Amino acid sequence: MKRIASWCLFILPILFIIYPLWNLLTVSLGVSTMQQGISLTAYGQLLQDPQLPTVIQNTLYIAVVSTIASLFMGAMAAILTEKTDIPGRQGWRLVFILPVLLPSYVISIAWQHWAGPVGLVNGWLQHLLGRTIWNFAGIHEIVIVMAISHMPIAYLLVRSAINAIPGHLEDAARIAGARPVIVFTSVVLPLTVPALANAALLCFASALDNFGIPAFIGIPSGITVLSTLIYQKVIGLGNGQFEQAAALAVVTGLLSMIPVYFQGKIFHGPKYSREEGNREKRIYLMGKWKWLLVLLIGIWQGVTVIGPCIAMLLLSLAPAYGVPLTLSNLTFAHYISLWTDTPVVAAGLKNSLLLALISTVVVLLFAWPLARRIVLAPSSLITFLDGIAAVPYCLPGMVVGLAVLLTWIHPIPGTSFSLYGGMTILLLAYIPRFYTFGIRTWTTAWARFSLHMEEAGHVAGAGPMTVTRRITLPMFREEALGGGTLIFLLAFTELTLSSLLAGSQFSTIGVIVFSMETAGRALESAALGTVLTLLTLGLSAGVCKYLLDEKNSEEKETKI
Amino acid sequence: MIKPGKIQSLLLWLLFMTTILLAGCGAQQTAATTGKSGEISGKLQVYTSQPDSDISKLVAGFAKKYPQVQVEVFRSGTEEVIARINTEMKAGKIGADVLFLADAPTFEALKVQNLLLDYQSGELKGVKQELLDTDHMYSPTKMIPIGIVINTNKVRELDKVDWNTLSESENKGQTVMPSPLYSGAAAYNLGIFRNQSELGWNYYEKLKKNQVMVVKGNGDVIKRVASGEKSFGIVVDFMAFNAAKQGSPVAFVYPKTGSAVITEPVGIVKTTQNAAAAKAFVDFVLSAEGQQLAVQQGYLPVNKDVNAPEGRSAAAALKILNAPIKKLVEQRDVDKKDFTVLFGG
Repeated sequence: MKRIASWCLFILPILFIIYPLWNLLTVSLGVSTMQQGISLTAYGQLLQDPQLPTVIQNTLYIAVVSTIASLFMGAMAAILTEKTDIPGRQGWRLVFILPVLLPSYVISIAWQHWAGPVGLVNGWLQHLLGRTIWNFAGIHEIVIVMAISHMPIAYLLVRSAINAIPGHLEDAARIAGARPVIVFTSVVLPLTVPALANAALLCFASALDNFGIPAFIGIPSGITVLSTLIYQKVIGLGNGQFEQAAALAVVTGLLSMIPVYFQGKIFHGPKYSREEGNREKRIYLMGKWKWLLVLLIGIWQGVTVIGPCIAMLLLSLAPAYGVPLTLSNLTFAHYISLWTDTPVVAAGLKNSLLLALISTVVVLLFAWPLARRIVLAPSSLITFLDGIAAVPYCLPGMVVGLAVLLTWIHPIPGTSFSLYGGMTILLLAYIPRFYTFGIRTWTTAWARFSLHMEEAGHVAGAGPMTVTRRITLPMFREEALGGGTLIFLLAFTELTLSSLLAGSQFSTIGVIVFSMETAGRALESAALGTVLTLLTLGLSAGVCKYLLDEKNSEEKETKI
Repeated sequence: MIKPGKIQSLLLWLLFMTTILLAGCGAQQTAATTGKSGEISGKLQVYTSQPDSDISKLVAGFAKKYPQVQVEVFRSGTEEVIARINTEMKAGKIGADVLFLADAPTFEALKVQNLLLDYQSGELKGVKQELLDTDHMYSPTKMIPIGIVINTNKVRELDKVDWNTLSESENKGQTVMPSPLYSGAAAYNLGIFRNQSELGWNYYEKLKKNQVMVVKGNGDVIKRVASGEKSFGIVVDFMAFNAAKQGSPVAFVYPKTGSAVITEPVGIVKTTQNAAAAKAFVDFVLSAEGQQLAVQQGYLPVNKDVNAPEGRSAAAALKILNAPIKKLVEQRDVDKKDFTVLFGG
């Protein structure tokens, strides 16, 4: 039994992670198409494609600029909520994480109706000044929306770096006579540099990975990036583009390795032991300024997140496109037509829900044995497996999706049965993609868990199953809930993988929003976007509240 | 410490949300299976490029007549539906029973690949002979001219609008059109224009120079003109009339130079497992009842015994631009490639 489990641990990643990626490489080299040996034809055709230089340039420009913007916003936000006595801190913390909870395509829809060429803001300006001031179409709009939706990554990393700084470092500087501003700039800021560097890599990788934003904003305005180009080669043009798409995916995959390469070179900063020394953190009193700060971040959040969501809500209530909304013509017709005119919406919600539930359960289940070994019995093989498990998430989703598509689309030999078009092929992509989140969930849990507890159980005569069920699992409830919710939300609102893999008879809600938007059904897609926003926020608010009540905020602070 | 009650209430809440969603779907499925018994039954998969609301009303009408047939619809742009079918062929099985797509050349291409089933519907009597496929592989269902939609707040002189208006420098950056890489109507329009001496490929180059915006579907064109983001759009007629009816500030112009007209043919896939239901569906679309339904949705009917929507010039009054269909089929791949090069996909 144990042996079988160990073998599975080894074979499953090879079959479902390495094999599809290997397959992608061989398809791009033309191995599958009857000719003997390797051919570079697909790469040659790619090089001749006059579009490609522009596409790569767009991709890199968007990734770099949005990363810088995310870093700046995230770091500012982290300093404000962690190092100042700003009122309503707990609330701001949640507000700053908000964009990560919303699927990026919903933010794109919302933002277009807010600040797009004919958005709410331009409408007001037109009314007030008689002309519009900006035209946020195209690449700049992509950059802004991308920066907003990746800002929480930077925020969370910088925040935990700031919170890890021991108070006595700042005390020492204070005692040596430094003013608070100097303490801040010469002690606190330098210590956040490693976190900033890590955040930069993550934001960059996420920008390469993102499909929702360039698909919703870029495709209509003719701005193509690598992820949308792969999508168009497979879905848009159809015939005979698989080899080229595979070659493109290999190039994209290599590009996404840049941040991974740099990751190894980054100075990881000193590790502070949490036990010793003064655990209290220092915060800076802003005096009267704090109300100005509240006003500023209030406006900032209003402009970047809340305003767009309201614009989307208002549009979903308008009777027709281009007709101004008033109290008397307000209508819920588009919400109703989501259910009556479009049976695919209900089916898509059901499918995505099922996919998310199954993925979450399977990922957490399969991650358990590996995570246990990572913590309790690490070996080079286990570390290697841990690394393999992270690959499907580090690679851009479009690359993983194409690898899965090319691998499992062909009918099972001897039958006419293919996995394509059903739920299975989506699960074969979702589960490897989110597997690493399962591992992280359990390793974090084990890291703060003493083995003595399990040993005590064994001494008391309980078998391994009983110990797991009665002792280990109950202790891991918080982590399981947090990690599980994250996987569930990611799978529920997934668009990138499913845009390639969803069949005509089994679609996901992300794909349905996308097809509505491309069909120009703006009012209905705004309505569906609003529904999705409420669902995801409702779920995460519930979980957050539960976890926060658990924690009951034990932090202490001293003011300087 | 953790209160056990909390996690339970959370789980209950999740379960509750799940049930609501599932209940909504379940209700719809049962609605499709109950009803009087008929001879024709089973599942029928329709791939179409019709707008969701139009196809769902058509399917509802069909379901009333054949309550035993469960119709499922997959909707996307014509070119994406074809890409989907190509992908499905690699997977070994085409999921569709009935194809209901924008234009005849698309079906001609499918015919050449031997993917269609020969079926001559009894309901074709009222249709003009020259629109019919001589091999009976597909049947025209509507007349959909492609013309210009304008925003009535921005453009006042409707009479002067023609194709050349869109390439005039005073209207720079004011036009939006659908992509032939997604929309079958746009692909057809491109093919037809290329074969007209007064328009030609040159016209698309002029549009590019005039900073035309290319979006995916016709619906998106309407959206951008209705909102005032653009003043002019190249679009299929019924969408513009429907938007105007809903209150959007738009109007439609049939250009004097002429219009390409797509016929939105319907055809049956050769590998269908339910030919009886597929044939019944084709008959229903072409029947007086199906044509009336199309008229209610703002389409010009293909059956000359059925009247055009109120206030619309009948199909006969239009100047129609034409080209040999074989030529259009042969050209399409080149058209799409040239378009990609000119507009960058």
